[in-house]
Amino acid sequence: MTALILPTQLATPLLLPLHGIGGRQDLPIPFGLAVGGAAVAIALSFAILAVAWRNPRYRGNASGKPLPAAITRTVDSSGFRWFVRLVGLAIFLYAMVALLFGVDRLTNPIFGFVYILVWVGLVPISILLGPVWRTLNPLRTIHLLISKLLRQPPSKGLFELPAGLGLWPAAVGIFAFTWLELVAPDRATLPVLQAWLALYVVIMLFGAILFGDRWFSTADPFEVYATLMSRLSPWGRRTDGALVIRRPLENLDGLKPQPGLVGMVAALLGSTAYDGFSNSTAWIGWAQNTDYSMTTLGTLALLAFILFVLVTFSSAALLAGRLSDSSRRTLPRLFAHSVVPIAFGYVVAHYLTLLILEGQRSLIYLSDPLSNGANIFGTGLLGLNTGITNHSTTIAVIQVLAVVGGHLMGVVSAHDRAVALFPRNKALAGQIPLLIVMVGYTVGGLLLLFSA
Amino acid sequence: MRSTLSRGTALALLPALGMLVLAGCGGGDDSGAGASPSPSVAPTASPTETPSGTPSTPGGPKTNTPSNTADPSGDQADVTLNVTVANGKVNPSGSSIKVKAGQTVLITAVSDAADELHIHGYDKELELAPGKPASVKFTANMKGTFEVETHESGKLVAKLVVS
Repeated sequence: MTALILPTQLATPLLLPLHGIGGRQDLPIPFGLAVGGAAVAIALSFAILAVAWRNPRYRGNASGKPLPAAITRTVDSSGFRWFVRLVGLAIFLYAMVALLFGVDRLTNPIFGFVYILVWVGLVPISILLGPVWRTLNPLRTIHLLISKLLRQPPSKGLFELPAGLGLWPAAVGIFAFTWLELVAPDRATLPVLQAWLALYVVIMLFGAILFGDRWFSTADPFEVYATLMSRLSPWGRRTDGALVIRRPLENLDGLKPQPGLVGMVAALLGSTAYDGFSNSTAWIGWAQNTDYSMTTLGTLALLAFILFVLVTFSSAALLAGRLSDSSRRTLPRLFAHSVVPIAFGYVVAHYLTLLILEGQRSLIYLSDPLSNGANIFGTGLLGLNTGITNHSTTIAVIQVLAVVGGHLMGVVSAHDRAVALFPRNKALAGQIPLLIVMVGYTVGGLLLLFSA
Repeated sequence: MRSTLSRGTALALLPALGMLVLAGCGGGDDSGAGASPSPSVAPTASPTETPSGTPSTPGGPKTNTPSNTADPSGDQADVTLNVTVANGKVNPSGSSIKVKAGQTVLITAVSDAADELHIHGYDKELELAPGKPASVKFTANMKGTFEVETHESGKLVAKLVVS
């Protein structure tokens, strides 16, 4: 049962990073940049509050400029949809070959495929192409094919999905995946990844049979994450069905405030912050010499980060309601969309160079799924272009801009929602708690980058 | 209709169950390295960081010659890191070692049990036989933070901060 391979048996070095995948991290950002970024974030936040509009501007899903009819017709045609679905399914099946029949070594492309190309890559895909993941989602396609085979509508299940469930299952899924990526013992070994993905596939397909294909948009962590990020793209669908181009913040405004949306954004922001924190030498140096296992400590710390975001944001939203005399229980989820750009900023800051460097490596490995010397796509012999590593100042500036920019987008989104929900004379006062919490997330994010 | 649905369930679960079975073959084994009952004396060593003032190869030839020889004596480098592994604990433990890009780095390690030391990003590894020092020397020509960790005991020794 031991997965240990003796050094003498190694043909290729078995390089298992302690920390997820990829052993390189960005340099700590310079102190001046961290402080400057924080100062700009705080100053501009209050400036926005002082000068910004007093009547809600964003019209969410009712807004947007229609795309040419030919584009809408093509995108909506069943041929195009099936093409995208089959692309997703083919990539999935190819990866499954590496997962099930590949060797337990980091040259197996499945590690980079899951941890880099899917988990990190779904963000740029969703930002550039909009809500495309639900069509690419291979499990959705498999469920659709089974439904067709049984001559049943895919939306049909055995039970109705409980209304209060919302996005909570997906939030739990995000925790489960980030736990696998950042905490689980032996997470870069094949058996662990196989076990996790097998559970994921079983839960997704079984749930879809029980509740119909709505299960995917409520419980599939990757699809729900991608759908959230696609709200920062310029692409959307108007209430009248037309495909439209609209400002990203207007797009974000159309995000449905479901139960569990707060849990979802808390899981995303908290886990990314934990990733940065758990990389710090202070944490590792302490944790690896205590009597508790790193797994226990890591699990508790990851949970603590997620719960911290959940509690602070929910309390701030509820306090905002009290300060503006418009308390209601659903306020946290009505403001939760404003955390999406903040989470996006964190993701850019933490994973941009990882995606560029390890993404290349993953694409190289993908040519040889079984580690037997195959070169299927002709990428197998390419080398890594590590040129980006020599631009450390540029990287640091991009990281700070991402965190601060995400913060400002979050503040603007929350402001528009506040003037829509709160009475006119109390709207500004009501925003203060949310603003303080957001400034806290941003300063914390910069601190993590500084002490990386 | 009930029967078709349950057939659907079975159909859908088949590949998934197959994967579960396959996945079951490998197990989660504890690293179990923490409690080795034989406390051996750790060789005295500490992270010695030679000041970067000695310009032996100032930004010099980038032709790095990684020598995997287990012979630390007489090797010179801009930055030296001495690693000790004893009772599953590492010294140093999670410290930051600053390196200027282009400098040479010499890492020497000795362990009381069979282990491996990895320098990530540069993809260097040292195989450690009990009690036998091993070393590796390379030029830090890539900027970033790189983990130096042991494989068997799974500990972060240090981070090379190459700037």
